[in-house]
Amino acid sequence: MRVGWKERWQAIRGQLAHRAWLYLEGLPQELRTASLLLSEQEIRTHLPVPLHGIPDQVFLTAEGLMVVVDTKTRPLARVRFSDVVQLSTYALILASTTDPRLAHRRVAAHGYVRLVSGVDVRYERVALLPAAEVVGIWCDYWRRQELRSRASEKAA
Amino acid sequence: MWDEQLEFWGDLFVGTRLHVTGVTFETFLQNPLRAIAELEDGPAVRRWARSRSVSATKLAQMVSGPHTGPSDEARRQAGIEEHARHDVLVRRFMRV
Repeated sequence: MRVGWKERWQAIRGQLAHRAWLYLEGLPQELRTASLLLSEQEIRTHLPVPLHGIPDQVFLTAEGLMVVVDTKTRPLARVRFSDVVQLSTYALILASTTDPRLAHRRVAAHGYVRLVSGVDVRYERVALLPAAEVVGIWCDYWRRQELRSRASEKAA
Repeated sequence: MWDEQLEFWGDLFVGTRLHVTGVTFETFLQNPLRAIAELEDGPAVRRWARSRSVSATKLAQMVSGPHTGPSDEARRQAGIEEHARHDVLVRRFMRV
C-alpha cells in the first residue's frame, strides 16, 4: 500500500514531537524504556492498613518493576521528607492492593520526584521508606486525630 | 513510664478503631505492629477500612507540619495546571 506524503509528514511530525518531549522532560533512562501503567488514577488498599491516593504516574519498567512518580511544582526545586512519605505510601498501596491491574507485580524500592520550577523539569530519584515505617505514620495519624478530638470535646 | 506507654498505645488503639477488626486491646498490647500485620481480609476488615482509610497526601501533610508561609493561590493553580498538562503529554508519548 502506498503511503501518501500527508501520512508520512504526520508520522515524522509525531516522531519529532516525541523526541522534543523526551529531551525537554529529561526522563531517567529506566522510565524512557518503561510503559505507563497509571496516570492520575486512584489506587487503594485496606491491608496492611487502609490507604488510598492518586499517584501522578506509575510506570512499569522493562525489568517488570512498578515505579511511582510524583510532580511537585515549587520555586525551590528540592525534595522534602513529605515527598518521600507520599511516594512510599503509594508504593505500599501498589504492593498490597488487590486491584487486578496491579496485583502480583513487584514495586521498586525507589521512586522519582518530578520537580518543576518555572520551565525547568528535573527527576530526583529517592529511596522509599520500608512498609513498617508507613504503617507507623498511619498509626501516628490516627493517634493524633484521637487526641485532637478528645481535646476539642474537653474544650466544648 | 509504664502509665505513659499504656496511654500511648491506648490512644493508638482507640484512634485506629482496631477493635472493629476483632483485635482485642490485650492482644494489641502484646505486640502492636504484629497485631496489625496479622489482620486478614474479610467483612470486618473491609468495614474498618471504610472508616480508617487515609490518603497519601494527608500523611505527607502531617509529617510536613502546619503550613506557616503565606498561602499562594496562584502557585497552587499553577501546580494543578502542570499536573493536567503533564498527564496529557505522558499519555500521548509513553507506551501504555
